[in-house]
Amino acid sequence: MARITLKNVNKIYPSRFGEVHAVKDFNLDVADGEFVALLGPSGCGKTSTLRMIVGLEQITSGDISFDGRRVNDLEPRERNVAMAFETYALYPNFTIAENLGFPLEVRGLDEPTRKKKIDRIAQIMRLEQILDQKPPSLSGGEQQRVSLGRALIRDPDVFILDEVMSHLDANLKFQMLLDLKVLHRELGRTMIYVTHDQMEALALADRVAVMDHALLQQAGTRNELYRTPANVFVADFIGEPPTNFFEMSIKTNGSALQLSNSDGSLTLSPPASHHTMLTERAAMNGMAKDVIAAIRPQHLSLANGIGSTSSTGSASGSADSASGSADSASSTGSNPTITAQVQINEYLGERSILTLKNGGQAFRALVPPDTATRKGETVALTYDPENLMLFDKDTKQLIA
Amino acid sequence: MGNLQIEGLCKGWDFPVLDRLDLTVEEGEFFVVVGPSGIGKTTLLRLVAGLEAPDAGRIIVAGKDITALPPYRRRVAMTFESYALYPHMSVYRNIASPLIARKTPKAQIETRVREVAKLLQIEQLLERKPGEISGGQKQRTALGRTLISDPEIFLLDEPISHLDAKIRHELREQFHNLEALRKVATLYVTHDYSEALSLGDRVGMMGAGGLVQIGTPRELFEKPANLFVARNLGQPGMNIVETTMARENDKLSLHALAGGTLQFQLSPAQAGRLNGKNSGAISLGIRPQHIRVLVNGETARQNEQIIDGTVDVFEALGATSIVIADVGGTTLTALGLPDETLNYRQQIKLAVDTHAFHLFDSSSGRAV
Amino acid sequence: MSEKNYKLVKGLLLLFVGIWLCFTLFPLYWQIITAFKSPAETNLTVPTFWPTEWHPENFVSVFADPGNSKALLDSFIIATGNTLASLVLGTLAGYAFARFPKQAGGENMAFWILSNRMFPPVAILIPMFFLFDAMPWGTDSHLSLIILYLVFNMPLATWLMMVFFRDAPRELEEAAYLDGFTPLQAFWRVTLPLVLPGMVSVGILCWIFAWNEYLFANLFVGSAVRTFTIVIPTFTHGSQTLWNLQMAFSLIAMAPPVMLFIVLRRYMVRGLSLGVVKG
Repeated sequence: MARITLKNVNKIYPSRFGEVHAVKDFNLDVADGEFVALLGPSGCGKTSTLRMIVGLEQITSGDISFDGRRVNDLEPRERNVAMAFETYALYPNFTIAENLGFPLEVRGLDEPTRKKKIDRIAQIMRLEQILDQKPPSLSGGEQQRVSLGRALIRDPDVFILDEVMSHLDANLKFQMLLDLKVLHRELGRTMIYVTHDQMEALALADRVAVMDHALLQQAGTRNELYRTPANVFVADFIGEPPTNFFEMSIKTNGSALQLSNSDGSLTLSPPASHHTMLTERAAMNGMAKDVIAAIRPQHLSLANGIGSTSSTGSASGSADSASGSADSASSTGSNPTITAQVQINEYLGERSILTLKNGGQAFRALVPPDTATRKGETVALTYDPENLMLFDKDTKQLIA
Repeated sequence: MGNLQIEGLCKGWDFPVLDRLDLTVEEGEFFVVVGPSGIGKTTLLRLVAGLEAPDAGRIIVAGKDITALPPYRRRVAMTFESYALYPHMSVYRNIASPLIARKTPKAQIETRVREVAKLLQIEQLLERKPGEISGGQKQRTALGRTLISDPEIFLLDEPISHLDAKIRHELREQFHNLEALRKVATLYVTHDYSEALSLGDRVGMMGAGGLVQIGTPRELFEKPANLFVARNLGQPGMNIVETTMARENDKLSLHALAGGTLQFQLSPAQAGRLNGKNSGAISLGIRPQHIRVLVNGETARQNEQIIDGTVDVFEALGATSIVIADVGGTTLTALGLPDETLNYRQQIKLAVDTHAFHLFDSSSGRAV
Repeated sequence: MSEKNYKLVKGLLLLFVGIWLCFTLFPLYWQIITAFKSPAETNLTVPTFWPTEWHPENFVSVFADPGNSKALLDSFIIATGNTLASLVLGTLAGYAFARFPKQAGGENMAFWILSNRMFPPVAILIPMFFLFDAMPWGTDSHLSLIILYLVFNMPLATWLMMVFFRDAPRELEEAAYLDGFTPLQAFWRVTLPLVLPGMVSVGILCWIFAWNEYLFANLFVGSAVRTFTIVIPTFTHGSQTLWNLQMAFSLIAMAPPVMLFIVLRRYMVRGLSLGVVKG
């Protein structure tokens, strides 16, 4: 059991081209028994962070402590951390039971104790049926479970998983997600999971720490990352299908407040709670007026009766759609709409994705699978202004 | 230009991979072959390309039998799962390769390469080598090399499976919009069912030995012909409940074999499809999106049957959440909204859409 | 690893490398200083570790005899000719073994070719001499050594090229077929450039072997053609060995392989990173 604290952790690698700052001022507190995911694109510094926690990499500056005890100078084996890798690294000529028992044998545990622990891990990891087989006869998913089991068997305080699923195919991955979820529930260990796949991170972790360019961008629960992403990067990185972004500027017209793109062909209504702040920004000069608005595809839905059944959206309707606008501020009570032309209607079984275009602006909406719109048709989409996210165009940070 | 006809194609090594496969892909049709990895999808493409020789059967393009032609005499373009870009040539030379092979004049090559590069948004990369560009850019380059050759048949082998989610979306869009691909017969291979549903004019599900079902994406997803097709489309996969059928005062009902109390009534229409059969083993398929978690005292809609369950696992993903619930000894997976967090062992009510049932004969696996 | 351990390990490694370097570089050092000494200084009973007088003119005196420069030229012709022949034959054979193992005779055939490299060369010295003596070009010619050295270099080239061709992804060739190239064009445009760095390495190995070979050269050639390896032992004056000239000449003979390596090194290193298709 351990609580992990990273305080102002930096990692600088010397290289031929000067220094590479791989991790910058990283601060994170992982509670005892918490499941935290480190998420980011390749080269963002997540693996360096992980290696410093395990002790495979020296810490350039800052402190890492387990339960308040500074571990900077401890060797990996002195930290009681277990790690599972992307590659399974099983001993091919040992049976599964021998593979699992190996870390215990090395530590000199006697046969009956070993057997007991092997049986318990095998039960958690669903390996009971295959204990007598050898690794080459197992599937990728099974091998990965054995490798996780072997890492876990010596009861580590902290369990670290490095991209353990990246080469499993979709079905196995899905099963593995469930296995890991159950595993964490059964063991209650502090777990850190490193991945570049947002879906894995969100599905598994209590909290997700998003990294980019050596910096921790945001650490939060799924809902925090979804509803209040700290900046454009987080809003963009987390979201499937990808989040829609619109470059807008604030327009005031008397008391009415709108976001409009450069040629005024597309307008969006900001949430009522932001009106005061946006009015203030609009009063300022320069960049403050420009914002990046973002809305997730699942927060856009087809307006009833509009678009999906009309036939006006043929070739002649395209000129119309370019000036598509939201009659938002006026229509109080009901949700505002955006009109756009359907580019692609992708049927995906459980759902469909509409790729839409309004002038030069492309965006996507997630709709029910029975949606029957066609290419070129003009449709109206509604959204709840509360689901709109606004970012400063300059700093890319969330505003309000 | 023309259609692609495959007649009685056989290929095997130590065991048969393709067994008398027949398929016609029309001119302008985008046909997707989907199936688990290692089932022989790539073998099919390699046979059409001429990289493998069939043990039996014929491959006919636009009425002309090309079975005996070597690959470089066939007008077939193919992308490889590994991209197979020439590492020592620039992106430009990679794309130009098919034109160079045909001794096209330099000026014309230049125009065509720029055109294709512009279409695929890789104009700024033309001078780079494949080792210096990202995975998505490599795939676009590989695609450029196929598009430029103006072939009779396009063969695409898992072109986007190894890319990140966001780039996959972009490239899927590209496949929808590329005129060139929609003009000729295209055979596209993938293990990802969502790609297949998204892209295919028609989709063929490949099982052991050949195509198990061919149809539009909606036909395959909504009316799977057998358990294999049902299981391999959808993420999370379809719930399959093994049941026995019983008749109680004029109504048919299904009882879960796992014991417990789970049972469903069949509608007269469903009963009608059973052709008077009224007992025996039935595999009941229910897609996760047809099971709703009822929250805040919601009630059932029409055609919904309410059952009680206990939460086993709850996972909030992107736009959806997955609930795995234990219902009287049977495990059911439901798809829901991500905003309601459910806890382990929480008691919940599930509404199952009984009209969306898929019924399969347990012994043959065929849909009834 | 903690800071202290890290420094200790690093120190030990440096010490080890230092000892190893002293051991291997000493003969070279001795050769260099000897080349600059006067004849008298080379024959002192108590050797000097640094020349008392520098005689760079030794490097010029070596060429007073035009036969010496001709020997370097002869060696160059033989080494280069043999290398080219080994590469052409080895590349073609290696490709056949890599891509059409069955038609080329399988593993056994490939192994048999490699095994030609394993017997003691001296075993074929005499038979080869009589064989070549019966040839129209005789033994004392460039061609005789160029062909003879194939016995050693071609198996090596074939075997190594086979390994390089096996590593070159077959899919690239297939992609070229689909582009419309015939198998021969695909080989020339796609596969061969891929193994070029490997070919360069093989070429260097073959060239150095042929350049340095002494045993066969000593028996086969000697009047019309003289390689530098059989010239080196001839730097004598009466019963005295002219150590300084001999060392100067061998230093000059060492230069070509060293330069070859430096010029082509970049190619060899690139060979390691080129094989990547995916990623």
